[in-house]
Amino acid sequence: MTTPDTVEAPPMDVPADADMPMDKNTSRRAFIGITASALAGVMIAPGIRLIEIAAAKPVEQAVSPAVRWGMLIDTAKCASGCTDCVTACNTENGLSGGVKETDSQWIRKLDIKNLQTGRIASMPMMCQHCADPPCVDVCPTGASFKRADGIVLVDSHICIGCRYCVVACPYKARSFVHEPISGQKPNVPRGKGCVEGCTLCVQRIDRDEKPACAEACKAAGHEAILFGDLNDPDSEIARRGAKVATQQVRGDLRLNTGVRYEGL
Amino acid sequence: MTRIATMTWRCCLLIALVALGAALPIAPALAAGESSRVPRPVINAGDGKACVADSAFMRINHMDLLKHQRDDTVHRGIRTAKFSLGGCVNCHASVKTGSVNAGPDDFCRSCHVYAGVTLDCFECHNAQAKAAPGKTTVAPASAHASGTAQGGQR
Repeated sequence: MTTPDTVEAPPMDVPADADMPMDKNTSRRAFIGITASALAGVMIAPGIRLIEIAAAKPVEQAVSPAVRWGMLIDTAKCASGCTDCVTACNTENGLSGGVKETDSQWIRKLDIKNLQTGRIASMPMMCQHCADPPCVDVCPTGASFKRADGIVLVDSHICIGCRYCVVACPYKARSFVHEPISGQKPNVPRGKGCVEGCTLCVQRIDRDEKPACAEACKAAGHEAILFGDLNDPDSEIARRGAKVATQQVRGDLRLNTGVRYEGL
Repeated sequence: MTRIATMTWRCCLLIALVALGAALPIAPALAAGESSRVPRPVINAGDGKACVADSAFMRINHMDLLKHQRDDTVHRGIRTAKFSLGGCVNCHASVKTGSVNAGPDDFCRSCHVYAGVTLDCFECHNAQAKAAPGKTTVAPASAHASGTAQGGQR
């Protein structure tokens, strides 16, 4: 999986996202947030709370399709040459950080150039967590699946390593583990003979934390990666999506990706 | 004639009773494996003092519990601690190797090798217990070496 220096920009006729789902009903998260802040009386100004109320899902409760996790990546804020998101991903998930063809890369940094105008934009590329994922369509065993909250995952217990999904993914987001692995992270089991890819840091999401790349980008001061619930109209990502033009890479494939970009 | 027959019968009964009395205390000793010729697995439960369920139940059903938990966790995001593999590892890791699968006497490996049952969990999952604060982590290289060694035993 080589990383080209420049790749051609996606077709300019990619429709701006008008399909960010907006649930009119007050979501559970918003309800808890409003109730808690009203009780505590800590609302400083509309939308600004002194204490951010964590609406963590109870561990024994299954993930709900009411939530759809996604990312909005602002290429204007993403610095060319900065690889903090990649490093954070490798550290969080126990990846080697190698970039050989046989090394797993869950997130890559790309510089894309518009060949007509010469504009170069930098962006991270990883699993786009499609609503209609081709990797799930082609998987012969059901190992490649979409979780109820929109995260596309590989169940390594079922994966036979056929790599159909690697071929089917238009984003080159899947990697195959070629070598035996040891010293895995306790929450990120990985093994030889299975396909793997970005999990949106599912182990962090399940304990109500943000993905490592988004945290690292914020820590680096760029804040190019905005993570949140696309289904929650009050979430920062949904509010931003309603305001600015966002694009899906290869939007022409109509996969309805969960990872979206600004200023491609 | 009748008297001799009665005597013989009484002697037989006495011998049988003595034999039964001698056999009774031996039977539990055999069951405990103390004087058995049959080899037994070393069960080194690590720090684990009280399991999440009764030991006899766990011996028979641990694989089903783990499989159920695995599907719940991977597909439904349910990460309860009770039957988690990480919980098993952290509690039962041997004090010597810090693992449940590194040395021949380690908790999971000992029984699985004894029973001749392939132990696949640690092909992907880490068998090392999470290092307690201030405790040094055992080098992952040792875990890898043990993994290949076990592969050879199959």
